[in-house]
Amino acid sequence: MINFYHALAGFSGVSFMASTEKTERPSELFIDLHVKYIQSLDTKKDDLEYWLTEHLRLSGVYWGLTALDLMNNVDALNKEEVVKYVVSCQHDNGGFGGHIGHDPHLLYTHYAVLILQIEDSLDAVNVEKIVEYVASRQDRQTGAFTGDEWGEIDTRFSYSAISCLSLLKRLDAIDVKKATEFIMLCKNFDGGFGSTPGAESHAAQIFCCVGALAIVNSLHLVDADLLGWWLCERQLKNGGLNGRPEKLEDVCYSWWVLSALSILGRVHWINKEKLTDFILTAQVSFTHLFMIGNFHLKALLLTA
Amino acid sequence: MHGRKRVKPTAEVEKLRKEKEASKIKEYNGIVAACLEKKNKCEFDNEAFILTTKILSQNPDFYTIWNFRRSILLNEISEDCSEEEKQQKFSSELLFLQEVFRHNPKSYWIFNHRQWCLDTMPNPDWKSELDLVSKMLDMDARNFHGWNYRRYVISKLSCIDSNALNLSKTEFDFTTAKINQNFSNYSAWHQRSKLLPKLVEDEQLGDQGKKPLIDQEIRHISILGAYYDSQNYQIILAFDDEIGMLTPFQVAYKNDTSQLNIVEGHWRSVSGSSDVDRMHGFVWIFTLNIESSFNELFVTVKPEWIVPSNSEVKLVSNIQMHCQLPEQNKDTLILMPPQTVAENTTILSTASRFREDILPMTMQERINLLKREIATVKELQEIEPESKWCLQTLLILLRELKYISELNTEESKNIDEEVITICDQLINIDKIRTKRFEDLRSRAIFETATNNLIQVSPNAQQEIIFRDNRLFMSEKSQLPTFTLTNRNLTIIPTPSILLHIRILDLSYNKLTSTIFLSNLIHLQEADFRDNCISSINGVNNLRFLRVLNVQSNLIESWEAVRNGFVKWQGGECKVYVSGNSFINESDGKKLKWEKEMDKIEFCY
Repeated sequence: MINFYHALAGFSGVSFMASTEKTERPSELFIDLHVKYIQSLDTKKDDLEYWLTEHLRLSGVYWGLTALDLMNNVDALNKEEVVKYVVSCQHDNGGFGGHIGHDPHLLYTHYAVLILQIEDSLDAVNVEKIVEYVASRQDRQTGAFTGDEWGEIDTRFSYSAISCLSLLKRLDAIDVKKATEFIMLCKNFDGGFGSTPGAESHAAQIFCCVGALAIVNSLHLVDADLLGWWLCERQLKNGGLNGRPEKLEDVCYSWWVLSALSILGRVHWINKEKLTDFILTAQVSFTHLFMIGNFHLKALLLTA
Repeated sequence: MHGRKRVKPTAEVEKLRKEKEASKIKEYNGIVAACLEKKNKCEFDNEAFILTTKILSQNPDFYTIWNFRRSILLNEISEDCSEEEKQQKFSSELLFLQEVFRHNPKSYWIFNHRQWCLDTMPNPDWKSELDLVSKMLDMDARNFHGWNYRRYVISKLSCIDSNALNLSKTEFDFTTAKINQNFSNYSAWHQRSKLLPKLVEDEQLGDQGKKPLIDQEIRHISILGAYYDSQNYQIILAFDDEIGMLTPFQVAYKNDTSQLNIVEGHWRSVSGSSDVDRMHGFVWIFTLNIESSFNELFVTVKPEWIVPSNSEVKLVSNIQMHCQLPEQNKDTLILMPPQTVAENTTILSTASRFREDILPMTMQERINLLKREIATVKELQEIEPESKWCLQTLLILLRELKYISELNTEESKNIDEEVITICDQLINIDKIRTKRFEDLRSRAIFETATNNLIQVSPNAQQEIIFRDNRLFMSEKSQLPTFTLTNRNLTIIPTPSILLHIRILDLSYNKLTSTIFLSNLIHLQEADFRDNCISSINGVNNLRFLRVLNVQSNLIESWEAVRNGFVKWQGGECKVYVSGNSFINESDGKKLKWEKEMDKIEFCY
């Protein structure tokens, strides 16, 4: 047992300093620049990277759109075009692929519903078919969800399914109790959650599990003090957050970690000022494709 | 993709890059278009296979192409194909995957495909897979894809290897080796946490003797009592510890034919300020949907979804409680101590963090272990006084000790005081997480102050008199008061324990919200002078509230005050507001005030 505590002692502050350039720290969010950046994303057709990430196109639309929404600029992307694009990603079985012609998958089905919700255009698709597809992803024995017919299991998919059906007000289509049981099998000694039973705690998985449990009213199963502790230890000396112990910080973790803490009522356990500093500085120093705007803004919104 | 620095290139460099990429883009798009065309036409031939190889070598995240590749393989092995040929195909596939993995060690899709191959091929070589994943973890000991894959391989091996214990032991030794390589390998420690219970369980297979001992020693949560508030059609249950609940209780009444009829209603806890905190509580209120009065009600507890806060739980048995009103005086409520309630009054068994599936010990052995651990960590702490981890570990251990041992008030208080000291040290050492330590400190202070606040003497019946629409706890204290001032309190962790309090004084603290007051329905006076409150919340259903003092706080607008009294259910109430910046505004008059709010008098 003592080794366990030695281990905790070992996870000391050997935090890696972020390799930020010595730029002056901006004091504001450059909203106009972010809007323009998001609008420009679909024009980068002479970048090989643009083509190599086609399978992420639908998710990219969501992250861009939700960032714009936070900046009160949803109309910066043409609504009709967005809806038309989303609809064109749907398959006969109700599921959506990451791009036109790409195979259906639970992740992208969830993104599709999120986008249509923002654009208030759920009537553009066959909702019942979506419900059918999502429900079919659940293994009724274990409660777990597969991503697609090829069978990968992950709590990310549990969240995608629960969130998606919750938005469509059709949680009745799945076995919620079993789904919850599976999520709880993924709970770890540190209060966190992994992708599958036995997997290590990771901020993104924690967001998925805590989010799912919140939606189905089972937050009492979470050890909020213990998990809140693990989450607030993600903040490094430079104010940024990492995804798990001894790893580097990244702006995307601002979102995963903060939103989980917020659901648990412990967002004040993170130092708001240092995180804000980090995010604003990251506007000029780091890049993370199209996700940057969304994560920035969502994180800042939570710390406001 | 993470942590990549963006460097602004020169126009010259940009131009060169674009030219170079233009041909690559054309080639790539060409292959993709050809491949997808074959897929749409269901052409599962070798040409298609080669196209998928080209695409996936460059872009292993293109999941649709992996799907197509699998379809092609399935098509190939479904035709006249010998076992040897199948094995050969998949062996080549595994080699291809290794190649792709070298450049992309963190792709979900590569691991998925590998698993699919092994699950589909005639003779997978699990030992060789184990070697492979060991090499992967040598390259990157924190790659969680690798660790997940390792667990998958081990689970397959344990199916064919009858000596499961040996496998757990070998794995355990693997984690030891990894930790010796790098002490901070959290992934290895995590794996260890999963193996330890398995090891114990495996070793325990022959030793049935210890189990009953453990069951006996486990701490129980008791129902302190139950009463029925006929004025409000509510059943109120009080426990001696916080529990979480999701409608496992069933309330029923007996009709003339002695049949039990379920009463519809809903449960809520008298608790906290956030969604998750409202899921726990000492006190739970069940509000009946129908307006009838009953002579007796039966409350049944079902073994589902009841958990003590922050602990694992096992439910022992069903419980039935019986709430009865005496014939003569329907307004008299009786709080029934456990002994007068139905047979099995202990409804839950709870294992602490020292779960019996980790170590088969008696409670006393566990207490001794904890004390030894505390002593050891304290030694460490003397060597490394600036180590926040030593101090945080002590916090866990002390809390555990307090929780599982039956401490008297003095010992309990000593632990709380030690916790407070440690929190103060941590605030100095780790300035980023100050607010968490302030919350932990507040919890310790609050627990000391509320120790034995709700008491039940096992031999006597404690009476609650319900008269003139009010609840009286005992004859002596007709107006129960709770005071905790000047203690830097940032939170009230378990407000439900204050349900019976009439006069509350929490002045000169650092509370930021009053929302925890909601459901403290007997409150008459609340003093929050000199705190950090920015808006009034949680008071609008406190029917008996007559005085609310929020002087010298951080309220900046009339709106923040007004919003707290929307749908005000009480009578006349004086609210003291001086010392807040908003009182300098006269804009309060411009806001819309509902008629009920006329009963609120703002005093300066």
